[in-house]
Amino acid sequence: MLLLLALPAFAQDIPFERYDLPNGLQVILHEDHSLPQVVVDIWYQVGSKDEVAGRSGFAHLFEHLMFMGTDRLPGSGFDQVMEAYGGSNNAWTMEDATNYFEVGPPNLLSTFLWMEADRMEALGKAMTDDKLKIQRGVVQNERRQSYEDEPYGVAWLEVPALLYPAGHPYAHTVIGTHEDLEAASLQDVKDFFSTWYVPNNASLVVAGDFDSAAVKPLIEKYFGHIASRPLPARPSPAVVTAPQKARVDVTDQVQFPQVNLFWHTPASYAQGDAELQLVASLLGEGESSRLYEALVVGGLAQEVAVLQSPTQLGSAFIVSATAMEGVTPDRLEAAIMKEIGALAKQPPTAPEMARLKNQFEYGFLSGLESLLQRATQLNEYDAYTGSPDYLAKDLARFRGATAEGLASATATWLKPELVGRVVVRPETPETK
Amino acid sequence: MITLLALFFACAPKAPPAPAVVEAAPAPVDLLGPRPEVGPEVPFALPTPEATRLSNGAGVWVVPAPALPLVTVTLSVPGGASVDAAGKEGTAAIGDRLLTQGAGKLDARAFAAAVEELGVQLDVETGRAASTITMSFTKDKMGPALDLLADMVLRPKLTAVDFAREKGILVSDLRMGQDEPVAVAAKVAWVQWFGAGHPYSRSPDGTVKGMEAVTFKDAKAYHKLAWNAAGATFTAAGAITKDEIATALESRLGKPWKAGQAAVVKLPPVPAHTAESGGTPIVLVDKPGSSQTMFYLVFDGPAFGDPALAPVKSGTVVLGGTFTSRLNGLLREKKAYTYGVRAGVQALPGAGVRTITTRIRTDVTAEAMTDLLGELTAIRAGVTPEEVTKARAAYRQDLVEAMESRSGMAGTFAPYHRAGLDVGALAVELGAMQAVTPEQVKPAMAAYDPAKAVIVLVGDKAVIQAPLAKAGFDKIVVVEPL
Repeated sequence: MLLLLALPAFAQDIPFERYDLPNGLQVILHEDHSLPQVVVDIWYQVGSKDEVAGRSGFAHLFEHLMFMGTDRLPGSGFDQVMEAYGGSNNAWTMEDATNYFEVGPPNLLSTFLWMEADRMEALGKAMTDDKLKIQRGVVQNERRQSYEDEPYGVAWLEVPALLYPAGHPYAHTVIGTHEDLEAASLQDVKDFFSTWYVPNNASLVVAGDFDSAAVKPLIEKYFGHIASRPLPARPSPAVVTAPQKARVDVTDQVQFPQVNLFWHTPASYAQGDAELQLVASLLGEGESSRLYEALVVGGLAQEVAVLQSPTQLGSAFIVSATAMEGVTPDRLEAAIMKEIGALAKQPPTAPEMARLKNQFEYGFLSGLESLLQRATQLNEYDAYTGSPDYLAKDLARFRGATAEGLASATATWLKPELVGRVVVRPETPETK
Repeated sequence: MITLLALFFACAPKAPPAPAVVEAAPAPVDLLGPRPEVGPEVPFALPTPEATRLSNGAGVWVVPAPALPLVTVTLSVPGGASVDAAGKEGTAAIGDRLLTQGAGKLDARAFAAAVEELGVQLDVETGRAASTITMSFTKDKMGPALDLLADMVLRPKLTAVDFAREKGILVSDLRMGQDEPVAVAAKVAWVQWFGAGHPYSRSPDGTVKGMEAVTFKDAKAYHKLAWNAAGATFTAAGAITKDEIATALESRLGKPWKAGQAAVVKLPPVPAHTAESGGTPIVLVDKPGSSQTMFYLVFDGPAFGDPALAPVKSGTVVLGGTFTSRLNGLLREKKAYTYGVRAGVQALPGAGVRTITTRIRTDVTAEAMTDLLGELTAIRAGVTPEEVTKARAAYRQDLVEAMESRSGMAGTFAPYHRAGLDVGALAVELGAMQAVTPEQVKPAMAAYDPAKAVIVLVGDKAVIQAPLAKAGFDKIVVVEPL
């Protein structure tokens, strides 16, 4: 059965114009005049996979430093200026890239562009040890808050080494270790900036209520003079298909055990990725999903989550379930594997495929509502597929998914012998 | 200037022989140029909901937004955790939860399948003073989606088997919450502020002990009490007209849904919080081994719809609403004690609070407390015009962003509708926020007085107690998580 979507034509496209500056900066313009707001979204193709040994967490630490001011706009000027007029900003770092964005009223657009160009050109020379020290502390607090003091958070610190061999670009966490964060030096910051924060490693999306003809000269003026530099060659690690360890056990201040299962799966946008996203939905999205029924309704689990987590060098398929009292991790895992095994042998039913189709359709359409999400999507398409013009193809890969294809992807990628586990157990006086 | 420069160079040691005519080196040209001026603000027209009523008196507000074929409908009834009986905190939560566990001719599993096969996003939220169902769907699914909504409200299965299963899940969930510093702090802080027994002291999701005590009969009683049409409000947004949604709702939840007595509780006065002389009392939940201390501070705040809300919201943004707020500037960007601080206002019908929350590195808990309270002293002295301008702009932009999604529109207008305010109430608030002055904000900041606050910490007592005492915070009461 095919997933057939009945979307209106206007909802199947994000209109845009794309061009490059001579220095290699890619520009994507997406006009939308429905509300008085604009988004500037800049995507640097550098993430935690580009960190050198002993500097885990550095790409993310650097992201924080991007807000620490330049000679032209020192201190917290970046935030102060835009907030004075209703602008806001944030950024996020992942394995493959670092994404910065500003959202605000249209009269801030030229300011947004100027400030992004300013820090792209001049952040490095204004960097100081004091700035590094402050943001290192902030990032360490983020690590404590998101992982160390978050129930079950420690499990996620174990995953990279569970899945990838030492030396692989994904073999360490994005947040990094305290030791590596402490080791980061001012020279590291300057080197990282001069190596990766260059226009030929960036893609700029401007979206919202603006006039393309008016904004193009501004982009040229602000970004056009920034020199490009050759980018270092990146390693091409062999595709990893099996976890490095079958199991890691950790303890935490929690009430119930948690089982986290991981498989290596196809890279983002590669063949099989869409099917596995739908498999994740079939297994874990909503109360009629197979694992919710088997585990939660079945009295084995308090909660279950399933995710195909796509990244450039290979993705991970994740099942996470927290046990009900008295249920052992082994029993929980057996129940999960039983459902996955069944799906590998028997394609989903017609009602299940109808559910996937309708859930996908709603999710796709509602995703188009946010201007920021559209801007980020254009950058993501470009980074992962080589073109922002990918929305129709993206739809097509989900439209083209079949029940047989979902079963086949499950059988191919979610083999019992290829699973890696991180099991969290409640801390006891003996395990502290 | 050229002459002076020539003299300077001529006198400088190791300078090359002065040429006959010395030209000043041109200043390097800044190719970026100066930061551009910010132009005039672009007008923003906040939509005004269209209003009507069903035959049973339930109000309907609609914000048409036809650009995408999506619809969000919220349905709120008064009640929520505020009507939980003492010792049975969690009754409303499980009562609402059962609405999703089978309705009409469908048992729990069939109901979940029916909802999800339509691609409907369904959320049932128990609040402190209301229960709310939110449904989002593509326009072509509106009929069957609203059929399911009507079944939930009018014909829920409410079976003992489903109750037992869901209660088990919710009790486990609450037990897991006892490891979550934010959840632990919030539950304790609201009880400390309102006093045990006050309707607003009750956490919307209940407590472990309370939920364990809830019976099937209690859960059914909540449904009967709260889910009648008296005080019910529908707020919808998306690819619909007022007539379309009114017609669709009337046949399903108009005539067939009777109005009884709205579940509204009488609010007793909030206890006075005035510290005795000799220090600021702290309520501590011990969490051994914690690498951070959770801070949760509660202060008096305005009720929903109170005209005083605008200057309070404005000052709260200045204090802890953005990256450049005073508390983030100090505790994150200057001291690196935290990943972030948040100051907020939670305005409920008849009462409200302001809160400050943050998670501080354990070893600087006492220093951070001193700094935080110092910043409260500073803001009570007033705010600058620039800060008020920033708050004004942030509020406006937040509203712009809320209007880009159907769920954002419905969710933004629903509380105003629920509170019985006019369709123009949000526009009035927007206008008030735009007109706030520093002179209005200053008196509104008087409530940020540590002597009149509830301060709850969740952290490692063995590590933080002595430094806190040394810093003057020696009145510490240790309590258990709820």
